[in-house]
Amino acid sequence: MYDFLTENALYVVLLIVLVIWFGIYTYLYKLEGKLKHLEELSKKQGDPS
Amino acid sequence: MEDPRKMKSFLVSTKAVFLKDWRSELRTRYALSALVMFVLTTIAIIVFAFGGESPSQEVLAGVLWVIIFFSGMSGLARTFVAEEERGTSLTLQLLSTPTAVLFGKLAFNVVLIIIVNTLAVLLFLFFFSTFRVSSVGLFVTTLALGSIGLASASTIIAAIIARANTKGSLFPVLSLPLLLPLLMTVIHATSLSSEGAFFSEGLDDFRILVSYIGAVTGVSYILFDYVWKD
Amino acid sequence: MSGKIKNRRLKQVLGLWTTAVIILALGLPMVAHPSHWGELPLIPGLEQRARIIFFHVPTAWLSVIAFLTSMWFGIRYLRKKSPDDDIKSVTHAGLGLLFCILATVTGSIWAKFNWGSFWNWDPRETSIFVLLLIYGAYFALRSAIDVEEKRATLSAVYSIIAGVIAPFFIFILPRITAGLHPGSADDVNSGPVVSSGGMNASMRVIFYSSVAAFIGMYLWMSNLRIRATRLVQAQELESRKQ
Repeated sequence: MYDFLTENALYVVLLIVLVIWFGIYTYLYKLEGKLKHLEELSKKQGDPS
Repeated sequence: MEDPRKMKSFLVSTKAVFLKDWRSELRTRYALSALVMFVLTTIAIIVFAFGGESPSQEVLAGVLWVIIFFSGMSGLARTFVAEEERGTSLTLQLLSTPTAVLFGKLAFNVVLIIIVNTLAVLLFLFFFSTFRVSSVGLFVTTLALGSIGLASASTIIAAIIARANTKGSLFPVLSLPLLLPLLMTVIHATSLSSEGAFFSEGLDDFRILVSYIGAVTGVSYILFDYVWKD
Repeated sequence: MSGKIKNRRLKQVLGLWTTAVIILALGLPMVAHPSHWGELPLIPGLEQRARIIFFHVPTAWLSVIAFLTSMWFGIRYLRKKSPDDDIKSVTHAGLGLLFCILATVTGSIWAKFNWGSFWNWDPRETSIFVLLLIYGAYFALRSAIDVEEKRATLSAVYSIIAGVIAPFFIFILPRITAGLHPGSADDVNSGPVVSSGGMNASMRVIFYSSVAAFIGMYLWMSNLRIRATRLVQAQELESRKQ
């Protein structure tokens, strides 16, 4: 196990970076959706007045 | 300002702003006494901190400018902050043009910092016997240009922070990034002068200092309207 | 409607693009004499550590670009006095601070392993330090002023003054003084790594793809932040009316 990890350290790093990247991406993507929802809400709010 | 009459009125009102600050300073001696005491206490602390050691010329050159920087930080904001505290900035806005106010205050700060710096250097020479100034011309020019640069950058920053809530602590925070190129250059030139370099060796540093002063003063002149007017 | 779908597609493309960049940048093998595409040069003394260039350099570039963008919107604010320009200015400054911190942290961790200590006061380190100080001062100034208009004006003025002085650190100082970074005055390999022979074609392609990915992320993040701030301000305006 230890040998495997030291020999393939680069791929372990790659895996960790990918996990972090997917985390960031999902967060931003969700944020985008929420923001769109809020924008539409405030547009509806603004229209009748 | 092509019109000579306009130029003359600008000079007159700049002088008026300068004299106003100068007279009120002479009456209260607020900034001067605070600065002189600041320089004295800092030098005393440094003397005790070194505890009989004799540090190298480069370290001493750095220490000298640390003293000058912080004494400037404690006194140069005064001109604008005082206007704000006394509630006289509106009157000054009505009575004078922004440019005259900027250059009047700048002149006052230059005079103030040159007086303080001269004193600081004299005290420094008195307390640190190892600190030599081998090439006097180089040293005096460095000190003069450094003082003007310090005053020019801190005048516009003082005008900005006079409008903020936490005036005292904000001033060094805003000034340091702007003053770093100046400090790096003057420290280099000062250690050159204590090594006994020729005047011509400092020319590169002087060129940087002069362009620094020109750039900062020019930008202040353009932007001061936005800072000063409500 | 099609605009919205296109927008979503654009973000998916950005996601895939960045994933590909990460996999290529970290996964491609490094060999001593790269002969065909897909092999990165193994630079003696750097070895696997050379891969930092794909991540560290774009963040450092972006922190400077963000600063200039923030300054640009500051100038626009001073001319037109539109609050939207101030929102943009502060957003770009915030992202610039984020990328500046990322560049500093990645760089100093890397320096520990390559140069032996976290911080060496190399000229480029000095310049990023000054950039951090400027960003910090900018936000300290903003937090100290309550009146919105005054805050926008004064912070714009400060960013312009800093913008006049910062080039000295960012562009002049690192190149005229000796230092550890590539492109310093005592660097015999000439010029910054990016434009010189240190990189081969595959490395250069990945590097610029990475820069593109970072810029895409930057644009997306700033767009999100600007829209969110606009919503908050509209909300505040609404509550003040009632």
